[in-house]
Amino acid sequence: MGQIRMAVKGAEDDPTMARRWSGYKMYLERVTGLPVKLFEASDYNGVVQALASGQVDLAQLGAGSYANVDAQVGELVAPLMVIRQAEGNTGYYSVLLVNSSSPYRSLQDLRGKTLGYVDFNSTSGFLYPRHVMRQQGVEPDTYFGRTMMAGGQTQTVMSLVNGQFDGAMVMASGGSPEIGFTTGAHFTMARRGLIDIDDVRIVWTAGPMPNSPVVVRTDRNQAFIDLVRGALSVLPYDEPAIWDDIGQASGGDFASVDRAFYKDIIQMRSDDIAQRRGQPAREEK
Amino acid sequence: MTLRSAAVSLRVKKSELGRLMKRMFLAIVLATIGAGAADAADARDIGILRVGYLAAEASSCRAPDASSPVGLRAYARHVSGRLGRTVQGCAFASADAASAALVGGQVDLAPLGADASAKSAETIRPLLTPRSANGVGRVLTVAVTRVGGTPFEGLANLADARVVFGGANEVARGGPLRALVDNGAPTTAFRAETVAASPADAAALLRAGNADIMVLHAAAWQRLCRGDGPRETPCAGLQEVWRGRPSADSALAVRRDIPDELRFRLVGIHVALHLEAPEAFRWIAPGASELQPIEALARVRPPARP
Repeated sequence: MGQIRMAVKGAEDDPTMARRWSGYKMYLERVTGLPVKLFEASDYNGVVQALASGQVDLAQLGAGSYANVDAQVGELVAPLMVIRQAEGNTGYYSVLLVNSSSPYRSLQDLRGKTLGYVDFNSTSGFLYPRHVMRQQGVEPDTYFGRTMMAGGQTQTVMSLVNGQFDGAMVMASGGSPEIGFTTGAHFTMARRGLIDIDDVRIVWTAGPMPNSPVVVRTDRNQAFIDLVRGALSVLPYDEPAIWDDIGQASGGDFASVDRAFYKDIIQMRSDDIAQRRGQPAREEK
Repeated sequence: MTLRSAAVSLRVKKSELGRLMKRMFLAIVLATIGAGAADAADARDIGILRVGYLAAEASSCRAPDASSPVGLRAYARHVSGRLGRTVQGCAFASADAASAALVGGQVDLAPLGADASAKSAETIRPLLTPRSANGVGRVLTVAVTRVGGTPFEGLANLADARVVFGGANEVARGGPLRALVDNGAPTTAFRAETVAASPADAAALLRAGNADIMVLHAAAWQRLCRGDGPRETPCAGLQEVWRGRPSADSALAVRRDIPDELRFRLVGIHVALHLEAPEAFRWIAPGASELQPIEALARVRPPARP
């Protein structure tokens, strides 16, 4: 391996993400001695295809996107690790946001209204909440008057605030439904002054769902895979200042995972596609 | 060829600079190779990985055979396959004896004794520590005071302080308390201890002068200070005066002069051991949920007195 090629979803609307990937790049270059090339994809599918085609060696992507890659190339791509919070949790949530000035107080209030999703490949902004809605007796394809894809977390919140959606399905973490959340696109936007945090209200939550994995092409040299997993694992312990600087939660770390960690998400995605196509569900391996 | 040297040669091949630039570039590359060679001379590369472990009777290093514990055989098979090196097992009667052998270069990976973690930190370092099955690791903890409040004079002086924690559970109080004590705070009670309902409530008590020092897990402090808007500074007037983790109950250590590439690969193999080779994992970290990395200067807590 003469270099490390990583795929990331471009997030020019979120400077935290740009800093995070730049931080990973500089760190990996320094500790491995290998040049690191970042492939910035404009959407979730760009990362999925870069991995599936073997253009890149590793990437971080949402669980739903990993399920998409898994459906395409199976064991050729494997999850290595996920971020674990200081409290030990390795999951996050979907939240249904509405404008605070609206009368909506629950999922039921949004029957027949316009709902914004993030992307077909988004776990928190599409796949997972649809699964939970079905469990609660709400068929997401017919319950709402209209559903749309905004293309990204930030765009979804912005479209809500601008009145294009009545509700928006996005991610939240750094907390729980009981104690509240501290992280998510709407928090990032509020801290940047794009919205006021009081402009939006959470009316429904689903989760937790497994955090976004760092995945690797398994047809790469095993020594390279072990090296990358080791180098990333020690980061919060050997270089805590970098860990904090790239926007990761203090006291958190990476936890090793395997495909079994995402088995439910893989099944969920398969079920969702079958449902949309009117096909019978099939049991994934 | 190591990954690092492969990268250097790749850089040379790709160079399409002009002659002058090429000379300068080659000079830089040669200097880099020279530095790398110096590093390599300092670093001990390891042809055989000699792994120290605890047993009733000490024995010399040898490749596991049919008489060896099943777990050791599974471990050696897995790690040897991944590293492409022979793995030998070396039995020691105590972690301090294993650490002494590590310091002396007789083994390459071994349990770290509490005594060695304090006295031999210049030669060896902890690499991995078992994570307990309760799901909470070694909680990164911060101590915070009010600017202009009671001066912070070190953890050893906390006996006279009024301490407030940001919650009652393991990550909010249990882990942070161990971090304080392991790093020099008195093991006896503080002058006063308050357990607030939340980090925000703890901060309010500190600001009001009802506590001298607030102790939170680092993520709670980070979240507390983040605010919800671009002009919010929720932690203005508060200052972090100490940050640290509890000592580890046990750890596996390596020599500090181990090559970085091998160190990272060892970590990469061991942090996934519970998933990829459960039998080997149960042998090397019995009762743990996984092995996780640990800071180079972390200490190991002495065994509890009977």
